[in-house]
Amino acid sequence: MELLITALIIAAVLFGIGLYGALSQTNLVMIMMGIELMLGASMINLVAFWRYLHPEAFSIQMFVLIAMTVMALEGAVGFAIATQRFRTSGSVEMEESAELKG
Amino acid sequence: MAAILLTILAPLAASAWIIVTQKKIGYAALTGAAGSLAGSILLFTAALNGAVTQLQFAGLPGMPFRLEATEMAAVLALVVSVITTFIFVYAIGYMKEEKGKLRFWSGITLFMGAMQLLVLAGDWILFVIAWEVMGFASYLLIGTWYWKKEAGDAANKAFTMNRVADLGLYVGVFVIILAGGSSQILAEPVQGVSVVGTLALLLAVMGKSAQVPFQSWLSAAMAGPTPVSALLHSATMVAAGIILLLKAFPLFPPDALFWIGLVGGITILLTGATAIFSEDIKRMLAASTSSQLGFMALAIGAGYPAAALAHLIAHAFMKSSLFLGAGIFQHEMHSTNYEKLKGSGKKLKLAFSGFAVSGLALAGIPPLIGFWSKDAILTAGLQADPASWYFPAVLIGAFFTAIYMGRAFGILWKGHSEPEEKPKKLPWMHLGYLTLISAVIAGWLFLDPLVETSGFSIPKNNIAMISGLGAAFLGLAAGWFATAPIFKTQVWMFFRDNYPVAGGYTNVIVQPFQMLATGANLIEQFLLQSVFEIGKAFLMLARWLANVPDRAMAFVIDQIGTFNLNIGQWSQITDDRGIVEWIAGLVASIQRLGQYGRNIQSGLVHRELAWSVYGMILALIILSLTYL
Amino acid sequence: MATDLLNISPQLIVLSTTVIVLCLEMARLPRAALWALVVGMLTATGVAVDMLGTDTTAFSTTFRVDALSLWAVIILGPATILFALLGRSELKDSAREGTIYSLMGFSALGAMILAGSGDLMFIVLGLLISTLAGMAMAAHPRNDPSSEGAMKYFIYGSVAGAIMLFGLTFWAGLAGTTLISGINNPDLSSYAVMFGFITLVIGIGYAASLFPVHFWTPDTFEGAPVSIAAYLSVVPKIGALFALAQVVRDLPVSLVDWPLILAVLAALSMTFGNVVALWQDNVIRLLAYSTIAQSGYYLLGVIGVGQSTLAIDSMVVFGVAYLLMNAGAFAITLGEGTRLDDFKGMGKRRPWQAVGMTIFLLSLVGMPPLAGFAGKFLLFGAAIESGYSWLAVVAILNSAISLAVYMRIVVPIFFQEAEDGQIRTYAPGTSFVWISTLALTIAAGIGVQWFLG
Repeated sequence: MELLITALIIAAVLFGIGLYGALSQTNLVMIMMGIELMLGASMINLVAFWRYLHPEAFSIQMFVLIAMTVMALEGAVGFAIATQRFRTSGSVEMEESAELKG
Repeated sequence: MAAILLTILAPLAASAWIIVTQKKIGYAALTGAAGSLAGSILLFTAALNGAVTQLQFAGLPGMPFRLEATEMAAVLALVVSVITTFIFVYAIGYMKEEKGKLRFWSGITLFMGAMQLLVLAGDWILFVIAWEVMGFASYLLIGTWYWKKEAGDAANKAFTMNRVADLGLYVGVFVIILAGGSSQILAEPVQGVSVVGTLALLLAVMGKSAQVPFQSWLSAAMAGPTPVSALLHSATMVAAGIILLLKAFPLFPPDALFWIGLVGGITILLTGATAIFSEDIKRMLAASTSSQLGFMALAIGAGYPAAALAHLIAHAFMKSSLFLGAGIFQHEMHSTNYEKLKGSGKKLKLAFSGFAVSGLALAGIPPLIGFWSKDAILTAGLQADPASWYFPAVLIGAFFTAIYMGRAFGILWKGHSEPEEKPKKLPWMHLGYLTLISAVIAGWLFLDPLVETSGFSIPKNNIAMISGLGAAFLGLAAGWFATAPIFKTQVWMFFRDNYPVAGGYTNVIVQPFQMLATGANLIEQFLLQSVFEIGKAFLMLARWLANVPDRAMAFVIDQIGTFNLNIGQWSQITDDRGIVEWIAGLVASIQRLGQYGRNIQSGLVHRELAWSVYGMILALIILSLTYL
Repeated sequence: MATDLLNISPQLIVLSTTVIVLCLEMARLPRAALWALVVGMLTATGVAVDMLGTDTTAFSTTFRVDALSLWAVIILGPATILFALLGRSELKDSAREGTIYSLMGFSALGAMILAGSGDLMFIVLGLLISTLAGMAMAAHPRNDPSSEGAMKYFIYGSVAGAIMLFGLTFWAGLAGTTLISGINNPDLSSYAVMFGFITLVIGIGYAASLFPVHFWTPDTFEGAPVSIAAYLSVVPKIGALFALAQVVRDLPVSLVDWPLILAVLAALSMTFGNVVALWQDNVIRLLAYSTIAQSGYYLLGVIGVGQSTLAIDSMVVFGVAYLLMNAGAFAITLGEGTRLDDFKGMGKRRPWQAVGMTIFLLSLVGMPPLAGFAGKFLLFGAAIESGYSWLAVVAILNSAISLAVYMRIVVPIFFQEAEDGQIRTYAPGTSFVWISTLALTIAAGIGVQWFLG
C-alpha cells in the first residue's frame, strides 16, 4: 500500500510539473514536453494501480498501451503542425500567435 | 377535414404566393382571407350540427400534432376570419399609396394563418408554434415602415417583451404536459397542474395581451400601418392571450384564478386612466385595448369564461371598427394627434358616425354589441364568489371607458378646423369599415347564438345592467363636457405616459446585470493579483487587528452615508426611467457582459488554458460542496 | 465474434471506406475519393437505419450498439457527405485535396466510436481520432491564420486530453476496470469519481466546445477553411456529447452530482456564447460562438439521461436539427463571404439564398415550426422533467438573447445596401448543400415523428 501511495505521489508531482510547463511555456515544443510529462504521469498511475491494487485486471494494462498510443499520435501530429507553423510564420512562439482573438 | 386545412392554409398559401410572384398582392391576400373565411364557415356549420372536426398528423415523438375545431374554436375561427377579411378589404385602399406593400401583405397573411392555427390547435405544441409564429409576424408587421426609427424601435420592443413573457408559456405548457401525460388540449381537469404552472401561463398572457406591466409595447406598436393595429388589437394577437386562458381554463386550480382576476383588475384601472389622458387618438385606442382585455381576464378570474368569450367577440368587432375609423381620420388629416383632429368629425361625417357608433358600443350603450358583453362582464363581477372588489373594479372600468370615448367624440366634433382639401373618395376603406360597423350594430342578433354554440351561456343580471348603463351615460357626459386643460395638468402626465414608475425594473433587472459584469471584471483582476496580494494581506491583517475599534466606528458611519446615497439614487432612477429604458438597459448590460467575455478570449493559448484550469478547479469545488 | 463484427458493421464500413478514400487520394484521384466517401457513408447510414431498434453490446460490453450509437451513424454519415461536398466546393484543386475527404472519414469514425463507447478506452481513443484528424484538416491551407488555429486546437486538445487521461486513471484504477458499466460502483471513493468525472467533462467539453474549454473554437474556425469549420462545429461535438450521455446513463447521482455540474456548465456555455457573439463582425466567429451556446443547450438533453423519457429523443432530434441548420448556415456563408459586410444587400442580390439564410438562423434561435424548435422544445422538456426547471428558464431566456445575435446577420441582408465589390459565386456542391438542408430544416420541424420512424 505504501508503495502505491509513493507511486501516486510521484505521478502527481510529475503531472503538476507537466501542467505547469504546459501553462507557463510559450514555445510549442516546450508545451508538448509538458504534455508528455502529464501523459507519463497517467501511465505511472495506471501501472501502480494495476500492480498494487488490481493485479487481475488486464484492462488496465491495456489502458497503459492506449496512453502510449495517445503520446505517439499527439507527438506526430504536434510536430507536423509545428513544422508547418514554422514554415508559414517562422516561429512557434505562442506570444506571437495571437492574430486571432476576441 | 378539408375545411380545417383550408382555414389555416389559405392565408399561408397567399403569403407564399405574394413572396414568390410579387404580383397582384392585395388581391391575392384577399383571396387567401376569403378562402379562410369559407373554411371557417364550413367549420361553423359543422359545429352547429354538433360535429367536431379533428385532424392528427406527425409531431414530436409521443406528442402528435392535432388540429381540432371544437365548438369554441369554430366560433373563434369564424370571428377571426370575418374581421380579418374586412380589414384586408380596407387595407387594399389604405396601402394603395403607401410604401412597403410587399412586406405588409406577406406579413399580414402569414399572421392570419398563424392566428387561425392558434385558434384551431388541438395540442399544446402546435399552440406554442402558432403563438411564436404570430409573434414573429407581428414583428414584421409593426416594422413595415422600418426606415422610420419609431417603427423599428416599436417592432423590437414588441418582440423583446413578448419573448420575455413567452418564457411563461414554455414552462406552463410543460407543466401541463407532464401533469397530464399528453400534449392534447383537454376539456376536462387534469390533476397536478400547480398554481406555479398557471402563473407561468399567466405571464405569457400578460405579455401577449398587454396587461400591466407589459402594456407599453401595444401603444408603441401604433407605429405600424393602421390595418395592422386594427388586426393586432381586435381578433388576433392580443386576443391570443385570452384564447390561451379560455383553452386552459378547465385546467386551472381554483387558487390560481385569483391571480388572473387581480392582473385583469389592475390593468382595467391603470390602462383605463392612461386612455383618458392620451393626447393621440391611436394611443388612446391602444390603452383602451389593454383595459378591455383586462375585463376579459377578470371575467375568467371570476370563473365566467362565457363572459370573457362574449366580450372577446364583441370587442374584436368594436375595436377593429374604431381603428379603421381612426385610420380614415389619419388618412384625411395626416395626423392622429387630438390637437390636429379637432372638429374634423364635421367634415368627415361618415367616418365620424361610424366611429361614434362603435365608440358608443364600447361604452356600453344598448342595443349595440358592447352593451351585451359588458353586461355579461358586470354580472360576472357581481356574482363572483369570493372577491368583492371585482364588481367595483369593472364598474369603474366601464365608467373610464365611457369617459375616454366621450372625450374622443367631443374633440372630434367640437371646435373648428379648416379643411385642407376635399375629402378623398375611399371606396375600399369605406366598404371594409361599414361592414364591420354593421356587425357592431347588429351584434345583439348574433352574439348570444355564437356564445351558446361554443357551449356557454352568457350570464345576465339586472343590477349589473342598470349600474352599467348609469356608468356609461355618466362617463360619456363627463368626457364630452370636460375641457381640454383638465387633461393636461402635470399630475396626469404620469398616467398618460404609461406609468414611468415601472422604472422599478431598473433595479430588479439592470442592476444585477451590471453587478454581474462588474463582478466578472473583479474576478479577472483578482486572479492576476492574488499571488502578490496574499503576502500583503497578512501584513495588513496584523495592522488592522491593532486598531479594530476605530475601524468599526468608521465603518458604521460610512454605511449610513452610503445608505442615504443609495436611497437618493434609487428615487432618481425611478423618476428618470420607464419600462422602455428597462429594455434598452437590458441590451446595454448584455453587451457589456459580452465585452468582458471578449477580454478573456485573449488569443494567447497559455493564458486561455489557465482560465480553463481555473474553471475546472471551480467545478471541483462546487462538486465537493455537494458532499458536505 | 462474428456477431460482434456484424453489430459494428456500420463503423466497419466507415473504416474501410475511409481507407479506400485514402488509397484513391494516394493515386491522385480526388474526385473518385469524394465519390467513394459518398457511397461508403450512404451505405453505412443505410445499414444503421436498418439496425435501428437493436440494443446490444459488442466485444464483451466494451462497445454499445444502441439508439445513441446508431443514430450517431445516421446523423454523422450524411453530415460527412454534406461537409465533404462543401470542402469540394471550397478547396477544389488545392494541393492534396483528397486528404481532406479521408481525414473527414477518420474524424467521423472517431465520433461514431465515441457515441457507442462502453469503455473508457474507447472514449480516449475516439476523442483522439476525431480531434487529431480535425487538427490536420484545420491546418490544410498552409497559411498563417490556419496554422495558428490548428496550433491552438492542438495545444488545447492535447492538454485537455492529458488532464482527462490523468483523472480517468484514478477512476478506472480504483474501480479495477475500464468498463463504463463497472465504474459506477457505489463503494468507490466519491472524491476519485468526482475528479475523474470533472476531468472527463474537460476532455469531452473540449471536443464539444463547452465553456470553459471552448477557447480554441472561434480562433480555429476563423483560421480554418469554412467547410472545415462547419465540419468541426458538428461532427466531433455530436460524438462527444453522445459519449457523455453513455457515461452518465449508468452513473448514480448519489456517487457524484453530475447533473448539477453539467447544468452549471450548460448555463455558462449558453450565456457566454450568446453574449460574446453579440460583438462579432466576422460571421464565422459569430457562428463559432453560437456553437458554444448550442452545446450548452445540448447539455440539457444529457442532464435528462436516465431521469427523463424525453432525453434520448431530444438528443437525437436536436442532433439532426443542429446538423441541418449549421450546415446550411455555413454553406451560405461559404457562398457569400465571411465578413458581415459581405451580407449587405444580399436580399436584393440573391433573394432565395437570403431567405434560406434567414430560415437557418431562425431555426438556430429555435423559432417554430423549424427543426431547431422541435429539438429545443424537447431539450427544455427533458430538463424540466429531470427537475432542472431553472436551467430550462435560463435556456429559454438565452434563446431570446440569441435572437439579437442572429439578427446581426439578418439586418445587413435585408436592410442595408450592398457595397461595391466582386460578387462570389456558388459552386454546385454549395448549392446542393444549402438547398437540401433548407428543405429538411423545414420538413424536420413539421414531421419529427416521421423522422424517428
